[in-house]
Amino acid sequence: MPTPSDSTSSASATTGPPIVVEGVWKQFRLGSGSSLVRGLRTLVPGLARRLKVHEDFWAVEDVSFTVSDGEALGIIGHNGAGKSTLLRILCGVTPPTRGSARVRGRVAPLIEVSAGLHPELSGRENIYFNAAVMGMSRAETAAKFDAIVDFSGIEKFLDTPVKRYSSGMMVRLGFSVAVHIDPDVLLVDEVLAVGDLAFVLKSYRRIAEIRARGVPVILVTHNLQLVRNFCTRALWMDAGKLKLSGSPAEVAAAYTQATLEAAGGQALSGDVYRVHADEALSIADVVTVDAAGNARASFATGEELSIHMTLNATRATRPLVVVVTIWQEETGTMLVCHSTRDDGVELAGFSEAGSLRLSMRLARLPFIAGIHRISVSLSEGDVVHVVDWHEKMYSFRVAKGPVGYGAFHAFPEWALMPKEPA
Amino acid sequence: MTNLFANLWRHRELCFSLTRREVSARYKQSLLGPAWAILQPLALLVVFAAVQRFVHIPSEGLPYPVFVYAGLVPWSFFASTLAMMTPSIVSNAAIVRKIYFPREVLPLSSALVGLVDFAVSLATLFLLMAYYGVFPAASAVYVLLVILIELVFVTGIGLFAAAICAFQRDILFVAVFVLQLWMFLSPVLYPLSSVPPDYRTLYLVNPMASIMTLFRDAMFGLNPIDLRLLGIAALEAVITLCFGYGVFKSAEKYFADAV
Repeated sequence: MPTPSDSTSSASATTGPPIVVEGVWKQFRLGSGSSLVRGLRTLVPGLARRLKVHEDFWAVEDVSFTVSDGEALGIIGHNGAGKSTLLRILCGVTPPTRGSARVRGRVAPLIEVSAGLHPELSGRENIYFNAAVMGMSRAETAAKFDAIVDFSGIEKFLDTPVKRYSSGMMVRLGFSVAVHIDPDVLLVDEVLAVGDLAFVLKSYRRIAEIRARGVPVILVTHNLQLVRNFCTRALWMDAGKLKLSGSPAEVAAAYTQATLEAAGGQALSGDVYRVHADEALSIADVVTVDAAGNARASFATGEELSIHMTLNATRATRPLVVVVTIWQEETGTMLVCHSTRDDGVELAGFSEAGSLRLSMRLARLPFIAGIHRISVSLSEGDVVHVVDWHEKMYSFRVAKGPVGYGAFHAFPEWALMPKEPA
Repeated sequence: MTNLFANLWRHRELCFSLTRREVSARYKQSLLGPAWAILQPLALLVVFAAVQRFVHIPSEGLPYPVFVYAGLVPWSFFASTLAMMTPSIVSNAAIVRKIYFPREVLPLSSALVGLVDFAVSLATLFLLMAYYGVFPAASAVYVLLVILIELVFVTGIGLFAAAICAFQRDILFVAVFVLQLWMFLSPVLYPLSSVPPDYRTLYLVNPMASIMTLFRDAMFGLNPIDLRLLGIAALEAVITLCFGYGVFKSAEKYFADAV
């Protein structure tokens, strides 16, 4: 059940919620000054003020939330937003600089699950060792040993040193131990992205089973679909601060919207860039337009969408080729790539300086809800001779329509068919 | 301080698991396995016994190889345990960053590995004594007490060094250097009686000097057990442990950020 944004949910009043985070701040010192000075400063409090070399940085700023039994909280945000630091604070490995984070009972951290395996030891020895690190006794581990091995699917290599394992096998081994320790709290950091598909699906099922027992789960991920499908609540962290807390659908939508706005601005960064090889020829004014001819950024699945653009030239040109590519922002998948030449449209080019307007119309938008990016490139003569390339510089949102897996909506028609005669 | 023992007891399974992992990983990687525990003191023994042939070093009436080996065994326990404890936090960075447990479990399991090595090298001392026809004296039961004091002392220094090492790797190089100097300032190659009487009090401030002297006195009954010396060494060891543990615990929470 999605809960509206609340940081003081009072679930089971008798014992209190299993995870309570109150006004947590975490400061890191960036590497200025010698490491000797830094070391001393950590050991001798008070020295910090006298040795003025610190360059402090708040990785987490004033974050509060609670998680109740059986809840699954998804934490999303860009890299460096403080998600993993927050998770480490919850694990208890690093203390908050201010505030408090209380976690009840045994924590199963699904974080770098294969870290901590000893390469020289066999899978069997590593199972016992890893379980001991997580607080399981030898007898407890022995009782669950078969289940762990069975889940990991590495029984054939049980007595092989772990250094001979593939990275996928190590993840499976580490994960299997962590999900068998009967945790009171499960903290997951992006591990589900690793391993083969069969194991990933098995891992989801296992986490869902653990949660069904009432164990609260915190999931740090970039996968918005996972947050929407698996979580009961979501937090969006931005630059160390809690930007938004609410239902997964609400938070995921706000997050994608903000990503879209940031990408639409002047700051071209990461995979958004422009290569302009010839000043005499350029693409300008790329806009998405609806059926009525109005520029719009938000559409519904099945609606009409046209991409309008202007091509400018300051000299005569050879024939031109325009390529339009549409990407799914969330997965980075290229959805469609159309070129005027391949689609049988000949652009004769300019006989003198001037400009022309080009439109690509999609009569029935076939994409599911989410952010989409557009790349446009202009080539002269041959398609490989690119003169202006706008990589993912434009975007539109499909705001209304089916949400879920995949990228396309195929407008399917389902029907029950009459039984075939025997 | 009671905390130390309480944590140790609560996490004894993990502690043994770490010790077992350390010991069995060592056996798997190396051809000689447990032999390494005695090889270093044995090599030193050969060299010192050879040197003693042309440089006269008194040996309190014992065959010099027996005498020097009875110094090398407790010294190696000290030096190798310290060498294992110092990087124990850093070399387990992966688990330190991932999950919480009282961090002293890591250096303490290294100390246990050191104790295992010590047991092996003590056995070889007895073999050497048998070869030279030297028998342990009745006071040899005190050896256990002396070893306990040494264990407490090395644990204190080791906890301190492990905490420093989490922030500053230089300590690893410093430790090698300090241990070398320390060995020559302790009665490993020579007896306490070789130290001029005027300097003896100062010399015995070094707990390792008392420990080595007491170890030999107890094992061979060379002198009656100096209970005052034993008491001072024990006191120094306990103070060192309190100090080391205090530094360790106050630095502990920053380990995950530092390693």
